[in-house]
Amino acid sequence: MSGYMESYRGQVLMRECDLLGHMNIQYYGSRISLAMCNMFHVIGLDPDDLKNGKRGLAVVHQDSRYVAELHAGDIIHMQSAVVGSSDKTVTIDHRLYNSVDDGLVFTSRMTSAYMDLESRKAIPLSDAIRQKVAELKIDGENAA
Amino acid sequence: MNKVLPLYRGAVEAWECDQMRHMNVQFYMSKASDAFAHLQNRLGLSPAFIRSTRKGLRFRSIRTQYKAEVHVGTPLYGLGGVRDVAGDLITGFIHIFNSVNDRLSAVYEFTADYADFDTDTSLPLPDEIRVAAEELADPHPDCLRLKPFDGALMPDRPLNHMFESARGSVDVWECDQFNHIEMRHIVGYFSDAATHIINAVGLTREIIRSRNLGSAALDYYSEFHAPIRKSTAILLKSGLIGADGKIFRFGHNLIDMDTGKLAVTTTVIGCYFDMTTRKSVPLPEEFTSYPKEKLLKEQM
Repeated sequence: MSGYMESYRGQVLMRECDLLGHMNIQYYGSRISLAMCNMFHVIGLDPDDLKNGKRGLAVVHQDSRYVAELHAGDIIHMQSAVVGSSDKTVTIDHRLYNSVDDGLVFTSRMTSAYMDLESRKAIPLSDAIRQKVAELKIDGENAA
Repeated sequence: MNKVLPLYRGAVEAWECDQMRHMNVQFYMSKASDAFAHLQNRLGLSPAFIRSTRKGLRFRSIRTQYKAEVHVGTPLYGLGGVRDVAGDLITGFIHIFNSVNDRLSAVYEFTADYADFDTDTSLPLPDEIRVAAEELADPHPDCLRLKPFDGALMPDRPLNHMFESARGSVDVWECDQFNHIEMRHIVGYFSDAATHIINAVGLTREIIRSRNLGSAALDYYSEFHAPIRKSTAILLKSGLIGADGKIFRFGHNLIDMDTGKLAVTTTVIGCYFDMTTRKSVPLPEEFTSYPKEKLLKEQM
């Protein structure tokens, strides 16, 4: 899909599976967390800023859809794209696939606020991030 | 056909960083294990196939070289491939890169065989897997190939002057779907041993902190002799092979206490570094003054 890029690639561990015999929902979130680290880099959020506690993106809204089960040992990858933005936020769409057949297993659209990590308040996107987001942004409605 | 395969993508989580403020070796291993699962799929060993047959590839040996430390939040990606198929043994590699600067962070070179996960027996490589591996096999001259391990390797037998450096039992949550310990947790034992090694040479955490020192693994070579299963009682014995200049060498024997078998032998090369400059420094004198008669190299 145009505008989407690989943001995560890994596998499902046995300890991530619950009594229903499939990956528990909390671990879908862990994959998004890893994917977001890659998307931070893509949109120009410097890891040093994150590490030094200056700036970060924090999720303020999330819509998720669980499409198919995952089992222990399944190999998976995520594709992500920038689908929206505002003065203080960036919206990223994540799509998790079973890597064996590229079958869609999970989608999540997340809006994150750009934060000053000292004041703990949302602040306007930096010019550099705003420009990068504008370059990467795809039609969010069609990506839904 | 592109024979260098995209096998991993992720990042360094905060809880994967240790007191040295960099990603701990066991989490490099967990990322390499993820990559290995994707490589198996490219050879025709899909997760569903592995689950249904309860057979798949397992590591026989792993050489790991840590090239550059990575810190919390760093995005990573992994590439890998097959270098050779000889007999029933596949030789391959996995490289973990820092996505920010494309710098190589760790190199895994491994041999793997096809095994029955219930009986733990090595099996002939199935024809279709062999064909797939041979099609992917390539010398990969553009992908770093490590020089042979520098120095003697730990023999797969007990040596004198090895001391207990870790002890535990294999928990359910440390195991894969075949009740084998995940590779990450094996490396975790070696990581845990590091503090005991510091004590064994006469150092304490307080001394290390007061000197602003950190320690880092540079090179690992592990051979896997026997499986380690759920609930197994584990003993790790370690010993100083040698210490000279900036480099120390340690040997580990991971023992399955239920069977008494030596499960894993590992040889480690490491160094100390200044926690501020992140540069290597001469070894603490406690290492270089360690009694020579206790060095394992005298028996190797």
